[in-house]
Amino acid sequence: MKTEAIKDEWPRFEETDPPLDLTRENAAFERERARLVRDHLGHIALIHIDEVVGAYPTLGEALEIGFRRFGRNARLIFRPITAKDEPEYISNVDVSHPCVRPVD
Amino acid sequence: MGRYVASVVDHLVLPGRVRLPPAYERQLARLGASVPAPVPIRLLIDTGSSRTTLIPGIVRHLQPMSGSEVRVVTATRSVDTDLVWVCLEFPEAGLASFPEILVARLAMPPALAQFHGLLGRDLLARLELLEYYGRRGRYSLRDTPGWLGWLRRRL
Repeated sequence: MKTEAIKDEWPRFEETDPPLDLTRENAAFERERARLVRDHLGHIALIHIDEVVGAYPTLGEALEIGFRRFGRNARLIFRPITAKDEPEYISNVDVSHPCVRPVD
Repeated sequence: MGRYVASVVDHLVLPGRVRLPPAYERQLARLGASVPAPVPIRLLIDTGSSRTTLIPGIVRHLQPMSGSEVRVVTATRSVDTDLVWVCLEFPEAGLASFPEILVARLAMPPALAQFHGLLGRDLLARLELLEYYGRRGRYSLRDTPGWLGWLRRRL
């Protein structure tokens, strides 16, 4: 798997930025997914780059732990724990805008 | 909280306000960081959309927490985009707020550029009722059952 260097900083969204590259966070989540689904379905997984830090019942708890452990500006992802990823069906979208990444 | 009734002129439009989730606003305030101001928005009610969306300009203003990414299937192609955590409020409509929801960061098509996003079925499913009175040119949204709720549940 390709592992790119990424900055450990709070994800920022400029208007024409492409979607975040969450390859490493997704891989970390998938490694732990079975356990997280079994023990924490519906909670929030706090992910810091290659590490699933923990699962928390509320967004507030995840945020507080994340800030306390990594500081205000770390690259933190707050992902709901679900058994699988479902696609969303949305027609009214400008698919030519740079905020989306076409799927091959 | 209530029921919102509005005229329909071409589209079903819900006025609202978007801000960061209160838990995040509190953390920012505690750390002495600036908290982005809430933004008034107009959402297009779209029963064909499975997820609520917000345009990239609003997301840029708020700089919200990232909640991962999502695959979006449109009529012409599939794309990936970000999911971000926001709080949606509807003070003008008098409807209940959604303090922590994940919305997709997506631009509206040029013909719908007057809207700031879509209100999809993920949030409509958390409301009690959406009614469209075709000949009267009106629609209503209700977030609680109301007086006739027991009767509607029986139908």
